[in-house]
Amino acid sequence: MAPPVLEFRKVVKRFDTVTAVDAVSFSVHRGEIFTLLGPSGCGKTTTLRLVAGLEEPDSGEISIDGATVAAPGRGIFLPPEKRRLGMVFQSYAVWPHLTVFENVAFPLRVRRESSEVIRERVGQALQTVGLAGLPDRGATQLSGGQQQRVALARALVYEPAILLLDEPLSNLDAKLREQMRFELRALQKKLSLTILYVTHDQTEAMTLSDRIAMVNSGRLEQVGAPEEIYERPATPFAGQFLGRTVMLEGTFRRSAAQQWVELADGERIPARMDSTGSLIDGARVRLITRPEDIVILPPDRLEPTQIDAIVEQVDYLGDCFEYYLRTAGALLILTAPKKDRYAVGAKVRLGFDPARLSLYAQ
Amino acid sequence: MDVTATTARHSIARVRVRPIRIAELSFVAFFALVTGLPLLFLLGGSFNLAAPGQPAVYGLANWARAFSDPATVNALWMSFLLSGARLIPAIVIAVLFAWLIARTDMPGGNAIEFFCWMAYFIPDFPLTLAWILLLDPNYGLLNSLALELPFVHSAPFNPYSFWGIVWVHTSTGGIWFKVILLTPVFRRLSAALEEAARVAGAKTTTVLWRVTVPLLSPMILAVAVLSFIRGLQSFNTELLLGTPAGIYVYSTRIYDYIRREPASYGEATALGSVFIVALGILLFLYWRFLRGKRRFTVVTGQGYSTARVRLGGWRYVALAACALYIAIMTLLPLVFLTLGSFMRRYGFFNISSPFTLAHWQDVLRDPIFFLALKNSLLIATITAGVGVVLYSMAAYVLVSRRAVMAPVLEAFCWLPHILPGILLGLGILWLFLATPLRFVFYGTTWGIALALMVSDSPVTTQAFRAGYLQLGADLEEAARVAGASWGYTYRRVLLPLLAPVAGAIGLMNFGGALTSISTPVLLYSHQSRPLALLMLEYSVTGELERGAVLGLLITAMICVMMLIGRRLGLQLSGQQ
Amino acid sequence: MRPFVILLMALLWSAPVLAQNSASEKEWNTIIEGAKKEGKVVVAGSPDPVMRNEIIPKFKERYGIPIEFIAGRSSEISARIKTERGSGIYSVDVYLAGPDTTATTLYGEKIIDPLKPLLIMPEVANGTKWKLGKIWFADPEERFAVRAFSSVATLLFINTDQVKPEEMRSAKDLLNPKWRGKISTEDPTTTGSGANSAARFYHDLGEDFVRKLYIEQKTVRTRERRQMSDWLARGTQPICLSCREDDVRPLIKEGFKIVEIFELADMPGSINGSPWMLTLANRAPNPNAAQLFANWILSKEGLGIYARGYGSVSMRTDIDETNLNPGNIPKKGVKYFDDTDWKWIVTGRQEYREKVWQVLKTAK
Repeated sequence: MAPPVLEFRKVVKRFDTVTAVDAVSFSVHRGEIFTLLGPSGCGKTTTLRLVAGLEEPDSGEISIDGATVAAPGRGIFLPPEKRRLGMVFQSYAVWPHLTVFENVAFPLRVRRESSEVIRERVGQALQTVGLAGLPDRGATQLSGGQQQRVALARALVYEPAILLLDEPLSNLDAKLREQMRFELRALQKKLSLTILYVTHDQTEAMTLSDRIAMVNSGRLEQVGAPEEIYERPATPFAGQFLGRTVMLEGTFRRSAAQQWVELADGERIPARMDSTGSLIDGARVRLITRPEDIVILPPDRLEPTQIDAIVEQVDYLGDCFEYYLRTAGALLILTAPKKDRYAVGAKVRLGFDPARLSLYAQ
Repeated sequence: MDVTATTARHSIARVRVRPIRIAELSFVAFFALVTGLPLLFLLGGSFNLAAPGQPAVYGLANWARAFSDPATVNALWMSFLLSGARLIPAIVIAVLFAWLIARTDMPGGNAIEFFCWMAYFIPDFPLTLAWILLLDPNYGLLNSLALELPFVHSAPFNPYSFWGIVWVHTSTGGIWFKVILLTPVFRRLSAALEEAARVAGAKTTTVLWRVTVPLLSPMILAVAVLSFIRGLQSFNTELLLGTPAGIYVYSTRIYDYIRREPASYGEATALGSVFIVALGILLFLYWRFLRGKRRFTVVTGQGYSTARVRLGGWRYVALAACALYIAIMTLLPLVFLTLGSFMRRYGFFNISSPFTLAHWQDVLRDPIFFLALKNSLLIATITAGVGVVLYSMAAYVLVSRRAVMAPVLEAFCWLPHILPGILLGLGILWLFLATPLRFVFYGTTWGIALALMVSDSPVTTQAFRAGYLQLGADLEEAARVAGASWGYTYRRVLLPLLAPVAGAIGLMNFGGALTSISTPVLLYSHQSRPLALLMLEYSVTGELERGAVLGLLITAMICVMMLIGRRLGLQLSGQQ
Repeated sequence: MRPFVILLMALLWSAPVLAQNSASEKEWNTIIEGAKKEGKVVVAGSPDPVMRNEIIPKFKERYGIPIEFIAGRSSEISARIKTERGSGIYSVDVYLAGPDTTATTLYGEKIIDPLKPLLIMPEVANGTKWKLGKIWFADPEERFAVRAFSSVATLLFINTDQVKPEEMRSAKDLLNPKWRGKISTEDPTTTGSGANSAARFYHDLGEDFVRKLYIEQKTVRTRERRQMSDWLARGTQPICLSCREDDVRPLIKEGFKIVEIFELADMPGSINGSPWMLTLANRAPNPNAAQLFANWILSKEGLGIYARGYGSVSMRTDIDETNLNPGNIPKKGVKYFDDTDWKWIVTGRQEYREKVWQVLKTAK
């Protein structure tokens, strides 16, 4: 198997007393979009800057295309300009004193390409991002979306080993963001780009990524395909950050034959054997699942995987209803199709899918 | 065994040499050499009590003598009062000017800016004399006019007073110095930041004082600190207006020691050291204030727009106010100065045929004029050109997050600001003579240029520093990631983005190099004699009218350079 | 200390004609040749328009040798020279410095060589060409510093629109309450002409007079020479203690009613050696050129240019003095106070200056 395009091995980066990147290891393979997802201040941008060479790691090793670019232990550090990367900054960093053409041509001029090559490749790059008509515009005369495209064209123009995208869509309006997301994915497929993508937006991460790394407080909590992380979050953080979750607290119980979680009002939900691992009898646990994995049932249905609830509020959302349900000391917000309708104050049963329940020790 | 060997080899520390560290070290070394060493020499000399030519004897007598005089303490207090009293109004006026010129749609902004530049280079000595002609209680023009009014019974103005000195300072270099440094920074401010405040419901003036000014606070603060210390050292106006009123300032006392026969450089240095303390305190406050580096990023690569604030009908009021201020504070004295250069005796209108071309003819016919002019232009060009490159890099190191010696470097860069020019010149003369630098710099135009460059370092580094603080780091990082080396990034991205600031600084240093007397007087030789020596001549021999001619010629040269520089700078920065 | 010299012109005229060590033509030509080989002479002094505009072109015309003139305030020049010498650099050949610099720095710190044996140009070495019958060496050893001028200096100036000459007959007249706030002087609290004239008042008339004049009379101080002469002409301060002739004379020509007072009943007139004294640097880089210049500047041609340029009275006998202000020419048989007297400069004036400063300080 070809070596990964990018590899982090136990990389640590500290700022004064804060550890921004804490022994992070991962690899990015050719042709994939690898996303660092996490809240702001979690260290994802620092990770990206470490790749770019804009920060120096304190320990660990980083290699690009099999070549070590940063390894403080061995005294290796390759400055950014030697790493053959493309980067789009959150602010785009389009140079206000240069025209669109010159902005995009910059990486080629640095590499002393001939003027024909420059003209051709810049033309192509502008074509690719849909800015073919504007090469002579001053960079300051462009709209936000256009500046973003200039930044992208500039990053693409010399075919970098990896394209680094730092929240590239966060400054665009919703519609433009959707369109750019679509175009970006298409472009990546067409040019088979390797992309390291940083975002705090889970929708972007879910729709764009081949793999996602959940970043929290400088650590990678989970790395995997979007579905995998969504369906089976390895930590409560991963589960909570990626989409809505429903959480109930209770006590873990086990007997010789079975195991279950006892909720606040004495209700019980059985737990699968494989998900409980080392939990001991009587441990406080959290029980987490996705709202779409709970069904609202009439009160007459009685199954072991169901609990009682009372409807406190109903909102009409057009294509469905949203129910506020009080159960086991918690308030759950669930949507349900329009075919069933329960009034405020009605008693219902909530049906859980044991295969989609996650248990975490508290 | 193999494993151990490998580990050992790694731990032998192939210490990676970081470029920023090298740059930092070389700048610190350079400034230690050109500013630290001369200062050490002066300080060392101030403790030497032996008669000249005798073996050195060290002691505190010079210091004790300098500070035991109660007049010294009084003068110091007076200096602080004067410098402080004019700082606040001057900063407010300068900020208003810079804002109106750079951020609003006031018509004629370019012309106003041009006049500010011109005003900066009008020599303060003849300008003060012009104010005396206007305000003197006995024969001042404005007093005479005021006495014509029915309700005025005694002369309302008296320039020979504390407030007279403050007033005249608001028309001489000080205020224009601030406008010149602030305008390019205002110009670079992204309009979005102001627009955001407007949308949030703030009035134009609220935006100015609550958003624009705080955003630009690093530069405004730097300018204030520079001005305050500059104010402490100001000299000519205090001499002309203060002495008759019995107002003595600290800088006068320093010069007394220097001009004494024989000169007491030891006492002068001892007095000068007070500025080091003042500087230390101000620097400490400044550093505390600016602790978060690049916190004041206002130029980014995103949504960059320089749309100007619309003033509506007020724009004509603003223009009228600016024009009036310039007319009263600058043009009026300038007219007197120009008249003075054509008068047989400056200020005497009632002698028969008071006007003459003789002074102009004399200056232009002076055998050393053209050689000196050539030397001066060469020196000024070197000073401005090399200075911009050198200090823009030094300032880069100052703002770099990776620099660990920035405070040391910054302190070195400030040092020349606290030394009177003649002491700095003496220190640098010693440096040239005591080191191998002698062969390149002693008595040459390059030597004078280097000395002038050293004396420029505080203003220049601070201006660039503020410029960088307002430049988003991403613009530079984008270039690095795109494959550009630091040098290429500096040339193609940083310097063009700083072009307006760099242009202003270059021009200022150019003009400063033309007019500085005290620094080159110890360093010139026959071949490298600059125009300033002719100015010295006129000032020592009291040839005021010829001094006015030279002052006007230099002002004219600056104007030409400014027109050229503007064109170049605007091209470089991609505007228009 | 006796700062008085007696100039008895009659005696001088009858002095025996003594050719001092005059050179042969051949010797003289060798010096000129040597000077031409050295190619230049470096002269240091105060900023000097006469030097710049007249002496440099004339010397070049005469001998084909350029003068490199290093100008600065005397304090600047001495600082520069001392630093240079400290580093083993000897750049200057000849000094044309004021009496203070010459006495305290150049002579005091042994920067100069004896000049006497080198003055061999026939018209310079010839004693009959000098009013004293010989070249006047002002230093105690009488061989280092040539004093080439001695002119009577103005004691004070008055504007007769407001001050009648008969109201200013003696120094005591200055204390008339009528003139309170009407007298100007260069600031006496620092070195310079203001302090010098105050020292002279102290020397002649004592502490009480100084206190009354400078404090009770509210004498107005300035640091700028132009200001005093402007005030004098406009009548703001119609009495000026330390104005300069070259500032005031043009005003008199313009018709301002200004009168120069050279002597007072209780204060004899003074003479001084301005604009400079001539000395020769030791270890001069261009010794021949230095010797040539030193001789030429003391010749009729050289001194003549300076006498005319500054209106100063030279010590030579053969320079036309008809164009000079008669008041500046020392009168025969009159006792003058010599303001450039070596001892007065080195010690006396400083002592009195300190006393003046003490008076001014305690008054505050």
